[in-house]
Amino acid sequence: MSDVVIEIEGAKRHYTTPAGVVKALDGVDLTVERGEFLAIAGPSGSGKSTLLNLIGALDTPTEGSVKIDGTSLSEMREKALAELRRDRIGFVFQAYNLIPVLSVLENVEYVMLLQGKGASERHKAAKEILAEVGLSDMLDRRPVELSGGQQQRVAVARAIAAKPSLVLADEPTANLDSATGIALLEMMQSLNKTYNMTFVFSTHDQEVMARATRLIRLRDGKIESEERRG
Amino acid sequence: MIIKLAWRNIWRNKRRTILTALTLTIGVVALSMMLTLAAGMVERMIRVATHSRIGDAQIHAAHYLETQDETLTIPSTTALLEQARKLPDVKDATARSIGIGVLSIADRTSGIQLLGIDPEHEKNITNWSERIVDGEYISEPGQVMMGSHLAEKLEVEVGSKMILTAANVTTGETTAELVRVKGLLYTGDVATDRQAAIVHLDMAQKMMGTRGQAHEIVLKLNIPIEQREPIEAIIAPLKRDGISVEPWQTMNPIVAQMKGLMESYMDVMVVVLFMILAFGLINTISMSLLERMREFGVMRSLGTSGSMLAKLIVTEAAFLGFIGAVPGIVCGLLISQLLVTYGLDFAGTTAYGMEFREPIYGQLDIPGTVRVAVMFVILTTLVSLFTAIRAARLEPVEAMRGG
Repeated sequence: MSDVVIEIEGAKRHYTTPAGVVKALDGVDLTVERGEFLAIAGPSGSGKSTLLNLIGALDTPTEGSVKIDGTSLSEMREKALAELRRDRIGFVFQAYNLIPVLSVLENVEYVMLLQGKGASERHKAAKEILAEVGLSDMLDRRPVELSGGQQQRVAVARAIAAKPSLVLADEPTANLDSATGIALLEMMQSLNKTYNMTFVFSTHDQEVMARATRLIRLRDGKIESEERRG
Repeated sequence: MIIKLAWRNIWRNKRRTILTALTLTIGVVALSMMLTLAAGMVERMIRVATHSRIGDAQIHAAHYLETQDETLTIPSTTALLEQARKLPDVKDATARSIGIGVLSIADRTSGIQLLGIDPEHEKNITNWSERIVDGEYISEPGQVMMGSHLAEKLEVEVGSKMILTAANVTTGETTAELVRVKGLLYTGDVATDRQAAIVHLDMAQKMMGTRGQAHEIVLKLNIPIEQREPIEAIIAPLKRDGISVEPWQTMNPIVAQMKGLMESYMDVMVVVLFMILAFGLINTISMSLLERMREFGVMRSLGTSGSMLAKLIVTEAAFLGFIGAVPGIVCGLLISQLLVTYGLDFAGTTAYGMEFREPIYGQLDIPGTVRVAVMFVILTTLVSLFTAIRAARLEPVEAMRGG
């Protein structure tokens, strides 16, 4: 497998609305290598979430191509896309988006369950990852019983539990206080280094940008600037 | 996992789930009560039809039933009667002579159906001996028994003397006999109660010139008579050329078809009632699912396939149907038991030539109630299919925006 995880060429995503055509993304080229801790910044409406949705196979570009681990998403059918999301991509959402009727442990196990892993393997992996994010004593709690920071840690645990090659995080610290946000980032940095997972963030948060190994700024659906650190 | 998720999901909004399930419960209860009453009514109709006149099976001369020709008497009546009485599962058999005549008293006259019976054997066939509302059951020639309706019409009472006139079926010569009203009865069979003058068989045959020959042999069996086939099996040895041997279903096909008709009617009722409930159900299920569109989007983004999502939604609906249907069966049967115990008063109602004077007592229809409940679960599941397919087809990003 190549060290390139994401390859985007000339990606456009246009929406037709009653007010006219909205160019959410307007020709983006981007290559992301394995193990990067990449932040995508930009003002609201600049196309950050749209870009993340294209990378995560949640949406389809109007033009251009998106490849994950060398496979073009446009050539994949819905079932294969679902399997790609299940096996290779982990998602962390701004609003946590845990499944409310499942416990912390069950939420983390969910993706592994979809993968068909056995109960004991799931329990073991989920407990290990929950221990890493510091939630070993909350396995049986429901999301509603957790604070925002705890919920986001569960969401991170869920995203990485199945050991995906890529984790996409859409403004993961936006709803957290700064101390909790920093703790979460440190945890993700640690996971990034431990497992050599690729992290791609969309963010407004300076703290996230400061910790990124590469920072890309979007404006009006185009890459405005790119900055490599370390 | 689908089952665990579905079960937990339906209890996310307990109040809404309970209210929705309650509508299904009430539907099943209502239909269970209707089934109980319908089964009781059918049973009563069969009982009234067979006990009040036609018995469980009848023998006639060939073509008598179609023509009502009084000259068509049963050949070798006595031998056939004896043979019938010896058959296994035949409780008893009795002969009847049937003709037309006139009953008169003073200036009041009425055309009647002359019905000659063997009083002793007739007691084992019909309920007439138990249905005397005034006077006594006839025991010998010279006595007449009639329905209370006919008695009212002729303004006679027990002990009244009347003139009975009937014609010889061969010569047409009329004979008049003095008869005394021995008893007034109410059989439930409208034709009998309003038209029949019941006299001793010997007297009727003498007046009609058919001595030793009956128009009708009526059988009472020792088996359940709802189904035609077992009756056919018992009476088969009596069949021969020149006579017809038929189960009660031939004599009263409307009542015979009533059970099947009731079942079809109840199936229609289930669908109609469910369609009424379905509007509420569709609304509740759709609302509940629309509220969770974003969650479905998240599940899709985690790798949940569209088909798994559809299965989840359908399973939730099936659970909802189940939660409504099971208490529906229990409550429905418990409440229906009240109809079995206390009945429902339909006094004065006439249906298909039978008058109901007593309450109709229900008969629990457990398989029917379960069938209705299962239909409700299936229909509830079907109602959810539309939303399930819609959710399954949504692009994850579209679902996360709220559908």
